Amino acid sequence: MTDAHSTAASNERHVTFDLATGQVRQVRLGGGERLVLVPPAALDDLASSVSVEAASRFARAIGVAIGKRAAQKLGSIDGVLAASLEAFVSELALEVALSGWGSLSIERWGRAMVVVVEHTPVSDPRLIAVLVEGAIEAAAGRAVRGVCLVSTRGGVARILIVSERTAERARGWIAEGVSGQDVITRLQTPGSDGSQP
Amino acid sequence: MNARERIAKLEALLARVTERVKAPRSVEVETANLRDTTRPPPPADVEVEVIEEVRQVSEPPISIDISDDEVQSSERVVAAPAERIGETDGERMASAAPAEAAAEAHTEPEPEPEPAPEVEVAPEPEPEPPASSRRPIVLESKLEDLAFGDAAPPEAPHTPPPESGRQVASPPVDLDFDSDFTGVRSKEQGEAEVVVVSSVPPPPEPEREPEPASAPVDLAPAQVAPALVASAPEVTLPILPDAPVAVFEGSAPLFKPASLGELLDATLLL
Repeated sequence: MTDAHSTAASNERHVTFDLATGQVRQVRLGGGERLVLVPPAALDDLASSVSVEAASRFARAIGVAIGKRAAQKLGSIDGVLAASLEAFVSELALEVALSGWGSLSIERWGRAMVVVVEHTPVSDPRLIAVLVEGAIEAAAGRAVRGVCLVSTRGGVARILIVSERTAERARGWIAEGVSGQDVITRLQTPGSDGSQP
Repeated sequence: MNARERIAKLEALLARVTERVKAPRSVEVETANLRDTTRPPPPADVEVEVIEEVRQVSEPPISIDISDDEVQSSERVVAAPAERIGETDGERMASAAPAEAAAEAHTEPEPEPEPAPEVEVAPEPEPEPPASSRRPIVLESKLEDLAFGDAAPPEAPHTPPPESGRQVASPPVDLDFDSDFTGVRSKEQGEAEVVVVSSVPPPPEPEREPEPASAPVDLAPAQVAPALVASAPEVTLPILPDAPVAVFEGSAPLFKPASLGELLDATLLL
């Protein structure tokens, strides 16, 4: 597991609180992006009051913004794909932490890529899964799906990054009660459901 | 003989005596003399009185067999004088004639009548109380003594049980066996002894009172207990060949992506 905080950025100012105008801006190379501080309870109320699609779009939008900022720091989409895993995790984790969505790290289980987000502000891990989807799509330019694996610890979301077709199989196994580790094992076992290891 | 038969006999006897009393004889003097010489019988001694009267009138004594079981302690039985066995009525009458003469002689004035021998009546033993009578309870007095008195505490009802612990082994007895026939052989000195090493620590020995100082005793080497030796298992290790028994060909596939793109492609191919 890569520690995002071990490769944290320098003392560069990332967030500016403009008290005169009442604005919070995130420093970017090409200028600043305005942010809004929202209490987590408001996010939970919003996610529970609206439909799943609406909540997913809301969370995806936040993730896309995070991914774009990370890709901007790494140069471009090609720069992100060519970057090392540690460099990408460091930039992505920094942007997630600045936005107040928790501590992000990446686990590699064989060929499977699992994004772990701790200290999430919302109780529904599906919002985190959608947020990570948007961040990786915006940063790497690939269409991915995030499958929330069953987590035993509170406040921790484990998101398996797979294709859309594999995501459907994984969600079916999870619905049957298969643990997240077994889902990853099945996906990497040759001949399981005709998938390719 | 039960009580009814006895009563019947007594009544028959009384009737015969009454008849003979009514007969014209000088019985009054005899009876008077008899009364003077004999103590008035107790009212309960009817049988005795009858026997005496019969003896004075020289009537054939009537013996009544009364067993000891029938005679209770409340009655007093006086033994009759030994009668002569085989005496006929004629002889008895003959013997009664001198008695009558003697009775007539008594009517003559004499200086002083010879005192009749008093019959020593032994004090009647106090009859034992019946079994159902009340008896003093000894236990109550003991309780009172325990509660209020200065009586010593009673002794323990039982002796204490013997103390547990090791028993002193009896000294070995030197037995002389003929080893040629019995096969019994004496223990050799220096023979290896079996020592059981237990992981459980022995219980602490109770503190013993210091024994009085005595002269040191020199024990023979055979009498000294051998020290406990922690025995270690004797392990026999196998001898393995130096040649490799397995051959590894190739290497396990190791996925180590160099960039995020490789990992992303790999995870999307799952």
